[in-house]
Amino acid sequence: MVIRESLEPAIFSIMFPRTAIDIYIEIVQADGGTRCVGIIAASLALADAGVPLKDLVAGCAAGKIDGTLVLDLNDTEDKCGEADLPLAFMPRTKEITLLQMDGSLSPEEFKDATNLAITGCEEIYEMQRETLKKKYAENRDEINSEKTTTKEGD
Amino acid sequence: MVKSAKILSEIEQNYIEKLVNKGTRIDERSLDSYRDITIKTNVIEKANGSADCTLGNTRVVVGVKLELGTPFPDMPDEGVVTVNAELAPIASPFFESGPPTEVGIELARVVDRGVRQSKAVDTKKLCILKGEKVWIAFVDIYALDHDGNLIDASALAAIAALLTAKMPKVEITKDKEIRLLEETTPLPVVDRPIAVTLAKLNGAIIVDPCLKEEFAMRGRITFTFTEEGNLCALQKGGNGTFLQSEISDAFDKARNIASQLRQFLPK
Repeated sequence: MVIRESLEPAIFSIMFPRTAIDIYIEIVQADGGTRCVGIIAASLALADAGVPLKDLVAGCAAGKIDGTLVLDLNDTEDKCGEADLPLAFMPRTKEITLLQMDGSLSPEEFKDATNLAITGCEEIYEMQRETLKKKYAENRDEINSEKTTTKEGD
Repeated sequence: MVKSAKILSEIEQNYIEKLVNKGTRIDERSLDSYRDITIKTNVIEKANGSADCTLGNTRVVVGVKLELGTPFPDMPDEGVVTVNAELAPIASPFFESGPPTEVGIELARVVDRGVRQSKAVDTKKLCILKGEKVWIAFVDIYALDHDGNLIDASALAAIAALLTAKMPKVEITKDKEIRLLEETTPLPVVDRPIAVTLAKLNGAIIVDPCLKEEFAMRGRITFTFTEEGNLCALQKGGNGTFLQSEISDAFDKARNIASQLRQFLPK
């Protein structure tokens, strides 16, 4: 449900009246951050499917362990740490689409943690963009090489 | 059966949005004021603790029931607190009997997270025999009337019920049998977490949305604060989005309101 709510704002659903988009996320191995990784993969899959999006949604968690703020908790850190703050973010419009927290954070820590998570999201966003671009670059190379081979065949 | 539609007419949506832009609401509140709150405790005699909370027309009853059980293996010396919510058809035409819906599950989880993460109940004191017997506190939320913001009403009722809950004293016999005594002691509650929900409506942030405002809003965010003023739980809901500046404004607003709302709770 939180994943749906974090992706819905990105989709131009107005372009798909009377249509449902089903997204299936399969967690192959859980070691913390499954929610965020699910969002990252799902938004890429949506883009790959050609669904018009306002922006890719990137997700990343910030947390606190032994009083220190950290980025992207793993399973043990999540269970033994003092706070976990998953966040999903659309960097182009600067909109936060998912935000949850459990644990204990002072007002300053909360602000720092949100900033930290957003930095993480921005980093992931670049990787998402690169991945998408690479796919089309590969397609282009493939088509070009096919063209050259047919020419040679002539 | 005809299902009532969860949509607002366009005219009502526009009206609510226009009012919010003028700094007021359909029930003439200001953007950051709550509806009237009343909390009555010990309303269900058979329960170990109970509270009846009204927030305007929204009304929620919470019962706390203590049962003996076995602890989790990774926490052998700690009791358990678990929160459940029941959204019965009596509360709203949108609720149907049957398995819990997304709304019900989210409500229970947001309240549960608030109670658990604030460490409001000293679960170590619920331990009777390490690794064998502990008290399990079931906090059951029953919505009686749904006029928006069930989360805050339920969170208030839940902590009020826990604060007034009584735990039977126990006696452990030589052969490790547990006998419940007539005498009771208060449930060890050490913090009073408060949940504050804010909604984003037409670019403005309002607190304590009523039902119609919930239909009109795009997103919602619930902050839970401990008595010390630390954030212990947070949940964004709805398919709207928030800017970072809106979140930090909402955070400051919610933190202020939380300490005001705490005055309604029993000590």
